[in-house]
Amino acid sequence: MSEDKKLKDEILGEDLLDHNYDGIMELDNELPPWWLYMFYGTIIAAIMYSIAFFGMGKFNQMDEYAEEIETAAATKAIFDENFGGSSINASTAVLVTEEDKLADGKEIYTKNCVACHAVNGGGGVGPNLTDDYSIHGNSINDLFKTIKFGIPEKGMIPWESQLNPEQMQNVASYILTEFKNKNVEGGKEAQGDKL
Amino acid sequence: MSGQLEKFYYDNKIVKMFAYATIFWGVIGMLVGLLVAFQIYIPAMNFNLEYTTFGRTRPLHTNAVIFAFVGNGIFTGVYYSLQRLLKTRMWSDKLSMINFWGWQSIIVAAAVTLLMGFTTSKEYAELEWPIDIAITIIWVVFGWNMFATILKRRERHLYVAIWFYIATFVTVAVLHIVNSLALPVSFMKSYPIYAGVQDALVQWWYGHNAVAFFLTTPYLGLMYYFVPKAVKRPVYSYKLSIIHFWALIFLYIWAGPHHLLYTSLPGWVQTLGVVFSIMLIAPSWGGMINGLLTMRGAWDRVRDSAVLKFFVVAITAYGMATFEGPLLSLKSVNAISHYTDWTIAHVHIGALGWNGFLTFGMIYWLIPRMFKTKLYSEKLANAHFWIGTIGILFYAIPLYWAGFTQYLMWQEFTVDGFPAYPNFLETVKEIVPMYAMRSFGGVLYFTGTILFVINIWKTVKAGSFTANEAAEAPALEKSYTARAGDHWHRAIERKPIRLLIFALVVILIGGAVEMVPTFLVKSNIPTIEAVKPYTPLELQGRDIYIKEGCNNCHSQMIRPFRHETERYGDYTKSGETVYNHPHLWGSKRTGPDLAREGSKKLRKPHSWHYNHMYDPTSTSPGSIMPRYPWLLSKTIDNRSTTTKMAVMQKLGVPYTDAEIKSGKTDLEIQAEEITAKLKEEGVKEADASKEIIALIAYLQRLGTDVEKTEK
Repeated sequence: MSEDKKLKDEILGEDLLDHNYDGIMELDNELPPWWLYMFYGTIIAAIMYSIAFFGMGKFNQMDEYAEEIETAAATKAIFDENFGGSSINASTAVLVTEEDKLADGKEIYTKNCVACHAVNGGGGVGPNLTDDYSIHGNSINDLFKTIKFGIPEKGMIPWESQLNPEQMQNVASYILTEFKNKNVEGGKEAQGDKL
Repeated sequence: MSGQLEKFYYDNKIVKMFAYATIFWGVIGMLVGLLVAFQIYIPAMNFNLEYTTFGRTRPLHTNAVIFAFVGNGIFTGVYYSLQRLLKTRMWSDKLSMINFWGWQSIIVAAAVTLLMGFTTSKEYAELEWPIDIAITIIWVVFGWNMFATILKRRERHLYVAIWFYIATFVTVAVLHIVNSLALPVSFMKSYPIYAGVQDALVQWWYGHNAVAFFLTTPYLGLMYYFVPKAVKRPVYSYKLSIIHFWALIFLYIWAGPHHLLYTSLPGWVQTLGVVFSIMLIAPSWGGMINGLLTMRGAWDRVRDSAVLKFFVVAITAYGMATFEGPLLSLKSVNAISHYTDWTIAHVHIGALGWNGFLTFGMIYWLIPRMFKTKLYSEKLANAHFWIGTIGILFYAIPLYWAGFTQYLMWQEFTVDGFPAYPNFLETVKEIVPMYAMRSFGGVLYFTGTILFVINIWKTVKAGSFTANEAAEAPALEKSYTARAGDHWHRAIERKPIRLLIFALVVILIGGAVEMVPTFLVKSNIPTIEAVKPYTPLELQGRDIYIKEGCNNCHSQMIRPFRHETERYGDYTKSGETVYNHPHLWGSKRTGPDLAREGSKKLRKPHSWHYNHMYDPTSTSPGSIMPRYPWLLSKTIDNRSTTTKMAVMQKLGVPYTDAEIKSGKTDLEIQAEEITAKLKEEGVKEADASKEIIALIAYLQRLGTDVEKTEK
């Protein structure tokens, strides 16, 4: 294109190309430098990320996971050391009677248990908690164990990953205190052995 | 230099038809969108009908907006601009009509079949095989008509808009065909040839590039025509057009795996997805710059023109969404956004802002021109603009908030190491108010659309339509000598076939590099001995799960994060899904993950599932899951069992011939067992022939195979 023919945009004075598509013209502007450097920057970032992953074994999600679990275990260990951890387990669980603990138990029961055992403990999907029959034992220790490890083959899920030992002791105590010998009306038929 | 001046006519009729279809389907698609926005927190709004339940209406919404609203928008813009950019009428009016009526028939067929429950479960590719074939045929008709028009053009060089149209045509064809490969079971049921990890990879290579090559590249083409036409200014930079076009189509195709970060997709494929997404920022922004900077010297006109306002917000939304996209592709960010409403907010910036507003602007500009009149009311269009813009904000902001809130609740642990919110439902109840605000945003946006319809209606009534618009241009001479000093790219712009082939090669590279090794190299998907095919009853149950669209709200992919493994059990291994034609990993958790629903950790009694399906609030008070009472009364289609197993066997699922032969009886035996158990648990009315039994069998199987090896 010779100099004299060079087209100019009338408003901005920039070089116009002689392209004309249904009246649409195109300017002969260079790529904006900030745009170009951003493009280069992302390419460099991509290469560096690739080197880190493929060459140096970084960003491996299994390693990240292992590390996360390790950190969590370490944090838990520190917590247990400082705050004594919980010594409550199936053989040491006791029937608590403090009102606040039973209230906590009631809250846990309402939130998690009513779907299968009903608000009044009469059962439904799960067994009746108010009659004098029991499938897996009715001592605080038996109940703690059932709650903690569940009865997976019958659909009672293990709660050990959702409730801490105090909470399990509280809800077990609530059940034994609140429902004992209530024999609520409309409850599920007896299952298991007579106590 | 030029040939003889020739007189010819542009076909405006086809443009008008597509514009009307765009408006019509836009209203429908947005209305269904509103419906699902309400249904998500008011489950009773499914009207207790299987046909209008979220699992079916949500795919209807996405398909209607993408393929009906935006699809017709593409055709409207392409049919208008292509003729003018090439100075010729469309090659064949007949093909144009086949394109139009074919596409509308496909949409109607899609709407009907999706609501009836015919679905492949693959997002944005839910339509079953006969419709897939129809789409292929109509798409080829469109491409054929476009290419024949290009070949008889009176303009030597192809303008950048047409490069985008060509790339769109060829890439969508490749994506659609590869992702839809399936073996039919019956007239409206098929199983994809891919399973598990491979199916997920192909699906998201497709899914991501449906966004790229159906919602982005054709609309960039439309932007390149309608923005400079409307603002009457030259395009900012021809050089930028070249670089950003080729970079965009080359890089986009690689980015699919960023939809599968932290899943059991091999790490190297995930990494490719990440790095290519990062590199996409600049090529995407190239389009935004060329759009916005074309307004230079005419910003004062933006103040006075609703059309230009729509364009400015559309392009800005495009810039925002394409910056956010790469951001979401970073693994640490994706850990938060994946499965939450953040993703939903993100896509709606694109859909409502970029596609919606560009379409509105285009039609506001087109209709007065074709009807030789002025827009009925500029004021009304301005009102539409402001209501729509506020609607987008009201839509997106609550959902960003919801996404963050829910993620923060999911991942919080108490100091003694327990999930702070072990009950998934707690985290859902927390965000219900944000869902309500989102639906309000949707109402605003839809109100704007109604103003749009009124305005266009009044304009049409006031004008007189020119079906065939006269034009003239010199004929193209046979020989052409390139001028010295021309840009090297001019040579490609003169050769449409060459451009098509280059574009094809460029888009094939990324997909091939990611897919071929994932399919051929065994070590990418380590098999697990204990993982066995589903029993006939479970297989039928799985198809019910697919039919009801459970995967729209429930994922089956536990990521290797402490908060997920504590909640759902061990992270999902690639070997666990090898018999899953299709994969059901899901992309959103409106409800909890179900990958290990049958495992010891999560297993509930059969009767829990029975009651839960009948009325979710009976077992989960406050649940927003809709009721599925029809599962208790509809009968399992046991006649299809043998064929289904035989097709699975053909696809490589190791059913023996004997197993297939006894399939129907085995199904009945297992159904009786489950029913007996249900009765024992107090569900006296349980009936072994009903769909609920198959669904329970399937759900109770999930995650149990690998437990057998642990003993």
